[in-house]
Amino acid sequence: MANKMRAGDSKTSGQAEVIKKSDVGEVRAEILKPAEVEAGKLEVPSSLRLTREQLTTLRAGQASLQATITIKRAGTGKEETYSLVLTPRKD
Amino acid sequence: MATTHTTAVRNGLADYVVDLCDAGAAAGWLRFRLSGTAAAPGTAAASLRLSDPAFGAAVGGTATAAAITSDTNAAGNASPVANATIEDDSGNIAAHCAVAASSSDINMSGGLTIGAGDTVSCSVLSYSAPA
Repeated sequence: MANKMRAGDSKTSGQAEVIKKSDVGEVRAEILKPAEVEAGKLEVPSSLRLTREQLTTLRAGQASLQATITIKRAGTGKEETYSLVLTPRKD
Repeated sequence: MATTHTTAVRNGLADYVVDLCDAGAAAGWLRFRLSGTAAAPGTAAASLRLSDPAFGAAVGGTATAAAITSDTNAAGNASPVANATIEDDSGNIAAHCAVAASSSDINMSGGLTIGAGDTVSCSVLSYSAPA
């Protein structure tokens, strides 16, 4: 349709994206419980979303993968970002 | 010679078309479909909820969609999508357009074959009335 557009045609324009279900993964994270978490002062996500490239890296069994995790302080809502090193493990 | 319209008329035309999406009881839909026509649309592979109202008032003959909610659990289909429709909550189609990887009405990245459970998002959508 777009290629046949003439003067006087109506036109729809847009940008869409498909994210394959298999491209989105989650890594369950073991959360060490510092006192602040137990006191309810920190909200810590229990999982991480990984990109396809990161998953591929993990599946390939490479030594480690750098990732970041953002936690949000309850109350102030202040976000803090930390670096993590994920190491693949075969149970 | 082509028939042309003033900007005011184009705004009216665009508003008329996109306002059809708001006619149902709930917000309308952007549906990605297999090949079809406005009169006989193809099977829907993904359904994304439009806002209510779906589009802002047209400017310069073009109405731009408000936020569109991603379909995070698409129905999917083994065949690729080729068209999209904007429609009201009841499925009455206001516009039917082409979808392809590039150089189309709606350009879709990540592949045109939508699998069951895939996430489909649309970051930009606009409708322009005839010049």
